[in-house]
Amino acid sequence: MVAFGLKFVFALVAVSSTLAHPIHEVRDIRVVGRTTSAVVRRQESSGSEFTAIVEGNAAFKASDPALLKKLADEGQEPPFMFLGCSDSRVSEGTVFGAKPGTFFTQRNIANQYQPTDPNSQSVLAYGVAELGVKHIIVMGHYGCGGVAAAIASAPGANVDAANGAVQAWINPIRELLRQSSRPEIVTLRESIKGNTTVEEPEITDPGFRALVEENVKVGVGRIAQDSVIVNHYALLAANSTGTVERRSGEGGPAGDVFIHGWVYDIENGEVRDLGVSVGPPGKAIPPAPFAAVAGAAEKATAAHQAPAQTVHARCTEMCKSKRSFLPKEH
Amino acid sequence: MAKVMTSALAFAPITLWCSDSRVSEGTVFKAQPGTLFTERNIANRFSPDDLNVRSAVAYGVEDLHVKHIIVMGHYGCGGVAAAVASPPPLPWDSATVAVQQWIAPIRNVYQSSEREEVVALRRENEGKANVPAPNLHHPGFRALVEENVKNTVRALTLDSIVVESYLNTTGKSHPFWVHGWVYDIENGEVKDLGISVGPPAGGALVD
Repeated sequence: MVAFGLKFVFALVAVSSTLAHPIHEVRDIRVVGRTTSAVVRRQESSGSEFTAIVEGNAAFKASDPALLKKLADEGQEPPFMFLGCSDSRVSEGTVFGAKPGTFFTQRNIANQYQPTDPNSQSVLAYGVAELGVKHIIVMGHYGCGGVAAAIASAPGANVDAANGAVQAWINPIRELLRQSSRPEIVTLRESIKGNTTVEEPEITDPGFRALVEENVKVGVGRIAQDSVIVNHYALLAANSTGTVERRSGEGGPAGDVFIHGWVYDIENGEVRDLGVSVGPPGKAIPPAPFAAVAGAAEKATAAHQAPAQTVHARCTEMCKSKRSFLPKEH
Repeated sequence: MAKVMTSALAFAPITLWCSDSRVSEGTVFKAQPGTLFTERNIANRFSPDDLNVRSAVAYGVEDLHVKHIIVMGHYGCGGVAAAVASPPPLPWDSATVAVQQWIAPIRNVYQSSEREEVVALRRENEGKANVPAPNLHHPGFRALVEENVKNTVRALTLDSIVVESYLNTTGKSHPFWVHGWVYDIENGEVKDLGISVGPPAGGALVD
């Protein structure tokens, strides 16, 4: 039995050494093509591309080994589930300076949630039902390429597989652009009506910024209506004595889950709350940790509907917001 | 697409990584913003039926012209563990359905893998009514994490997005390589599985 164990370990070591090696070792890349394969020597320039992340990993490894060990042994218990954009500028660990173990994360183009998408739904399901996250954060960002592409004209014929995939994925945002009654988006819609060569907008375009925010809001709404959340809230309501257990390996009672919509400004790193948080019926929403997008969006809509608010009052409120859509001379 | 980028993304590989809270790529690589365009889902899967992951890869390849796609799995992956463990007893709520359906392809990898550690794990679990989730250090679990990464790399390189780019019929494709790496959550180490795939040799795209 011991001999077998040793042989097994040896075989494992032999297998590991051929299959796995630390990424900082220089190594020939085996290039496998469709009909031929060749061993290609890694060029100097390729090596330098990986340098930053290899060095970053080395620094990270040294920074908190005890935490890593603890999380490995005890498993993850993240307080947050994060739905963010794939954009390389919006990594949630970086933007929030978060330690490992904080955010259970789904990232996709334009941080979308669709109930017909098994990918994001499985993350929501696992986060709520197994990991027991307390907060679900949907975070969009100004300058989002996916939202920009939804504003730009769709490509004509001869769409290749890659383009087809992107266009299909962002189609719901095109729908949002078509249907939203938010003033900035209406303005944008009118300005591009009939134009078949619309370019992607600038990051400061108010309609673009508004669409980024509205995309987050519909995401929050869709999550709140998803059967995972509906079932979870029903479970909480049915249990008045707090003794119902959630179905997870760790057991423990099912807890409150809140859903928040935030927006990130890639130009200055600021995070803003859109003020659309949802929670279990009858429960108070915890206070927002980030300043609101000044409610300027809602107030702007209200002003549109009830022009009783004086121009001066509206301007004062807009000044309080950090949004950059104010005219330069204001 | 490049218009809205405020910084030049000279490198910016795509990472296809697990949703696990312990493996945020920005943290693990101490990466500056603008470095890693990222898709994250449970157990870093790729499927040609999944518009979510395909659109992210498509955008990275076609619009960002990334040079590398890094598929990164991690030891101790809950999705892979769940693919070994027995499914929970019926009735299933919608959350369980969602998760079980998502990891079903990994169950296939587990059942069909010929790698000896995985075979050993299967033998160990044979006949058990309730197979538990495996331990982080179990060699079979670690091997299955690696096989799952390889499966993702394979599925990715067979996808029409990659095939069309490698065939380069328009002459405008940019070369890129697909790599499979594994992250060890216990100590932060990253290992290359040595299964990198690139454009066909002899074709116009060889770097």
